[in-house]
Amino acid sequence: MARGPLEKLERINAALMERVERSMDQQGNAFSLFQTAIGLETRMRQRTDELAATLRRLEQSNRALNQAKEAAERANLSKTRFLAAASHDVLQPLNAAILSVSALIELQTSERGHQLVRQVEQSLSTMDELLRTLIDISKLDGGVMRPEVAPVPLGALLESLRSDFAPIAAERELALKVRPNDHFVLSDRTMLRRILQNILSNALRYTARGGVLVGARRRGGLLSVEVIDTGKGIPPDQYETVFEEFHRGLASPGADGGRPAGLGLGLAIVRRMVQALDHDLSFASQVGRGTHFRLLLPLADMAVAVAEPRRKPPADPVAHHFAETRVLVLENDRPVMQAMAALLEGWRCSARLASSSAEGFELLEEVGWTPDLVLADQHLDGGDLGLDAVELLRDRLGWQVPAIIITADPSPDIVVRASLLGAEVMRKPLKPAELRALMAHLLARKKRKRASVWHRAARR
Amino acid sequence: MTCGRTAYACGIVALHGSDLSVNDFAAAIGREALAAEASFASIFFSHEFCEAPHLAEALRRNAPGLRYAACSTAGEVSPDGYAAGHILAVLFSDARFAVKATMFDALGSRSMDDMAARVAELRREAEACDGAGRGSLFALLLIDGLSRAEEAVTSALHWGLDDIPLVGGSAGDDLRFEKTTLILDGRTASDAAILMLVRSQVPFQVFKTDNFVPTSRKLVVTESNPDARRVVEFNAEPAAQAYAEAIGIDPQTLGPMSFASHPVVVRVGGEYYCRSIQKVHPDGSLTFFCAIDNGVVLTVAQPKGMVESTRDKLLAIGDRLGGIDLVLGFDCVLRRLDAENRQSFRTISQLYRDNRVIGFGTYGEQFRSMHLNQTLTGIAFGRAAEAAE
Repeated sequence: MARGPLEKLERINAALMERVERSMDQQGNAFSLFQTAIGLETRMRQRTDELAATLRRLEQSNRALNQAKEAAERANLSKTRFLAAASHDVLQPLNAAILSVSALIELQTSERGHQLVRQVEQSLSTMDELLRTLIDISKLDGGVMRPEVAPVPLGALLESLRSDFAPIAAERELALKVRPNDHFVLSDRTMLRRILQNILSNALRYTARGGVLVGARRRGGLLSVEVIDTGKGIPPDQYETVFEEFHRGLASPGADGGRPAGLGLGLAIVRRMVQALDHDLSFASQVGRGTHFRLLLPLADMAVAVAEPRRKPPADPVAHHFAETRVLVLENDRPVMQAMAALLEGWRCSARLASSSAEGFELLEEVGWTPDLVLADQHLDGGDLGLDAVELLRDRLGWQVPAIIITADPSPDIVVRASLLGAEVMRKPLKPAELRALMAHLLARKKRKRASVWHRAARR
Repeated sequence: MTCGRTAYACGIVALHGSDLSVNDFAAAIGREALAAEASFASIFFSHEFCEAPHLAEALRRNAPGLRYAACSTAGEVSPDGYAAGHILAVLFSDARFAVKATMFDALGSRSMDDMAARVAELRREAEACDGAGRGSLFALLLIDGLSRAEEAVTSALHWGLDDIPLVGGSAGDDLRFEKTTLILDGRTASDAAILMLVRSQVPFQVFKTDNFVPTSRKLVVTESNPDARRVVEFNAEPAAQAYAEAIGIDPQTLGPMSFASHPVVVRVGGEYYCRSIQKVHPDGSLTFFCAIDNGVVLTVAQPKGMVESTRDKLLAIGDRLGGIDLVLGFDCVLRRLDAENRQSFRTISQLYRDNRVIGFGTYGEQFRSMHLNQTLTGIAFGRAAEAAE
C-alpha cells in the first residue's frame, strides 16, 4: 500500500487535472453546485452594487425628469398664454375685417357690389367660426379651458338660445319651440350654452320641414335636456363618427341660403365639452324621421343657487377690465352682430344681442339682467334708429346707461342728438382698439357715478 | 416540570423546556398559540427529549389548529443560551407574520425543476396572503442534515426564490449520525426539507458569520465518492491519516472535537469556506457535511476568534436594525464543540443570551443559495415594531 513520493505526486496531479477538467463541464455535481452558489452570491453582491448604481442613476434621471417637467409646465403655461393671445390676436383683426366689410356694404350702390361684399362677409364669418372652434378644441385638449361649474338657470339660457336662433328658424320656415322651465343645473354656463347652441344649430341645419323642439324634464336627481328635430336623421353607420372632427352630414336642400353645410366641428367640440363637464350626452335617430339628442345634467339645489355667488372667471391679462360687464348690442346685420359678440366675448363681457329695440326690451325682461353699456347701430330692423332705442331703454331702466351709437354716416343731426343724450358716436368701420378704449372710459365714469344711481333706484 | 416562556416585542414567543413531558409541552404550545394569536410555529427538538411521532401526536391533541414545522437537532439555543436535550418552540404571531410552508420529501430522487416550480407557487401564495399586510418576505429552510442534498436543494430553491433572502439549518441527531426527522403539520419525514416563506411586518436582516485562519497546509482530494460525500484519499494517502498528519494529531483520536478545532476550508471566489468533516470511518475514509469532489484543494485552517467575530457581526446587525429584538439562529454543532474545546462555551452562550439568539445546533447552515459549514447563519428582527406600538 505504501507509495513512493513520486507516485503520490502523480496521483495528486491526476486528481487536480481531473478536477480542472470537470470544472469545465456543464454537467455539475453537488460540489460544483456549491461553487455555483458562491458564484451566485458574488454576482448577487455585484447586482446589489449595480442596483445601487441604478438607483443613483434613477435619482439623477428623476431630477432631470423633474426639470423637464417644470420646463414642460412652463412651456404649457406659455402655450396657454399663446392660445389666449392667439384667440385675441387672430380673431380681433378678423372681427375688425368683418366690421369693416359691414361698413363697406352701406357704401355700395350697385346690386353687384352688394352681392360681392356679402360673399366676402360670409367667407370671413366662416373663417371666424372655424378659427374660433379650432382654438376652443385646442384649449380643451390642452386642458387650458377648464369648466367652472356653478348653478346655471337653464330656462334663461334656453330662452336666450331661442332668441338667437329664432331668426334662422324663421328664415327657413321651421318651427322652433322651447318649453319654459325654471330649473337650475350644475354646469359651466358658457360651455353648456355652447353645447346646446351647437346641437340646436345642427338640428336646424339638417332639418328641411317641421322644426325643432327643446325641452327639459327631471330624471331622478338629473335634468334631461332634450333637443328633438324632424330632420333627416343620422344613418346608423355614422353613429360613431358624428362626434369626430370634420364629420359633415348632407345639409338639407335649400338650407341657409347657400351657406355651407357647416364645418363639421360642432359635435366634435360638443363631445369634448361634455367630457370636460362630465355630463352625459346621447342620441337616438331614425333616418327620415329625425334625431333626438339628450343631455343629462345634475340638478342644482335652488337654495345653493341663490346663496352661492357666481365665481369670478380667472383674471385674463388681456381683458380683465371688462370681466362680467354686461353689454347690450343692438345690431340688425347678423354677421356684424356675431363679430361684435365675438369681440365682446373675447374681452370677457357678457353680451346680449338684439336686432330691434323691441327685441332689446324683451331681453330686459330676463330676470336679473340689465346692461352696463349699450352698443347700438344707428340703423336697426323695422326702421328703428339706434338713438331712439337708447332713449327708450334709458327710460325703461331708469338711469342713464352709457351708450355708444355706431354709424357709417355720422350726420350733424346724429352727432347733436347723441351729445344731447350724453351718448358717444363711433364711425364705421369700427376699430376694436378704439371701441375698447371708449368702453373702458365710459364704464370707469359709470363706476364713479354708481352711488348716486343706486340712490335714485332706491327712491323709486 | 417547567416550561420557559419568552415574549419578544416583534410578536414572536419562544417556549422551551427539557424536564417536562412532550404532552405538557405541546399543551403549553397550544395555550400560547391561542394567547399570542399565533397560527404558525417552528419547533426544534432533541431526540433525547422526544421522538418525532410523539411530538406530532401531542401537538395534534393539544394544539389542533396550529400549523408547524419541526426538526430534530444537535443541541438547542434557548433564550437562556446553549442547551442540550431540550425542545424549543418559536411562535409567530399572526399580527406581524404570515407563514406559508411546504415540505419536499424523497430529496434523493427529486427533480430540481419540480422543486423550483413548487417554490414559485408558494411564493405567489405568500405574496398574495394578506395576514400580515404588506411586509417583506424571507425564507426559512429546515433540511435533513444527513440527506446529502443541501447543495441541490438550496440551488433549486434559489431558482424559485430569486431575491427573497433565505437562511436555514440542517437538522441533526445529537451527533449520532443515524437519522434526523422533520415534521410539517403532523407529517413526519426524513430525507426531506421544509421551506417556510414568511411575510414579516417586522424589519429583519439575514446574516452569516464564521471565523477561519488558513494555514499553509493543503490537502488535495485524490480519491472520493462525491455522492456519499466521502473522501477516501488526500494527497494520495488514506484521508484520515493525511488529515491527522496535517493537523498534527494521532489518527486514532480523530473525532468531532478535532474536526471542530481543525476545519478544512476551500477557497472559492477569493474567500474561504469551511468543508466540515462529519466522521471518520474504520477504513480511514472521511465523510463530510457538504459536497466534495476529486481534485478539490482543501486548506487546513484554525477557527480563531469565534467570540470576537460573532460579537462584531451581531453588533453590526444591531446597528443596521436599530437594535436587535430577536435572532433566529442556525448554529453549527461544530462551533459549539470548538467553543467547548477552547473554554469559550460560556462566553458564546452568554453572547447568544445577551443578543437574544435562539435556534438550534445544526449539521450545516444555509445562507441565500449556499450550503455552509461551521458558521452561524440567522435572521435578526429589529425593534422598530416595538416603537410603532
